Amino acid sequence: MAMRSRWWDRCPVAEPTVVVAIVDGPLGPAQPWSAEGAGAILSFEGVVRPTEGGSAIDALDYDAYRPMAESTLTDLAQLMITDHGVTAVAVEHAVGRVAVGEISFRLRIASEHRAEGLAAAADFISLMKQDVPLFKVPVVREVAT
Amino acid sequence: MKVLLFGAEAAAVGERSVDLAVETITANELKEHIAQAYPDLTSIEACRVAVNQRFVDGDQELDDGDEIALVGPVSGG
Repeated sequence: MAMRSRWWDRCPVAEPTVVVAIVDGPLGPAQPWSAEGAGAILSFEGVVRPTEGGSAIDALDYDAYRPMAESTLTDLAQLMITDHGVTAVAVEHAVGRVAVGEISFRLRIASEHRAEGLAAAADFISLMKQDVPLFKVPVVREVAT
Repeated sequence: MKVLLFGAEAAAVGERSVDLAVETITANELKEHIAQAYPDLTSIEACRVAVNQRFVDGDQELDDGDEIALVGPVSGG
């Protein structure tokens, strides 16, 4: 006997407008992400540079005041929706060791048009670097003598 | 009073938290206590105090029952 279709099977799955994740270790490849009504999806990835303060490094060790970092990133994402009118924001940040060339931070912003997404991305990153309790300690490359 | 530490401050002290024998003090007084107890913590001037996961002003009184954290210069990204 064929299963009868239920009304909730036909309901669209609501996409959350804000997604925040603090992840152990480097970030992997980006998973598909979109937001209803978006005409622009902006994606930014922060990658560990090979130098820090003029010294060659092997990695960065990231630490976080995790609950505060999560709540502050969520507040910031909501602020971007309120202030810039973007549709949705997804943020991932690594904690622990992230080697040179690996991804430590990913920000994705969906908006109706590109201008508000670009403005929100710049604003979000500036405020994150000011007020979100995430910390990096360089792992300086040892030079053989 | 238990104070949470992270990043460079945790590394300088060698602990993820410190216990101070104080009762009600302000955020600025807390930093002075920590500076005296841990003179190697040279970044103390640049640190902020968070109470229950929110930054507070220096004259904010701290309660032993609150979650108190010393937050050094942040550097996410």
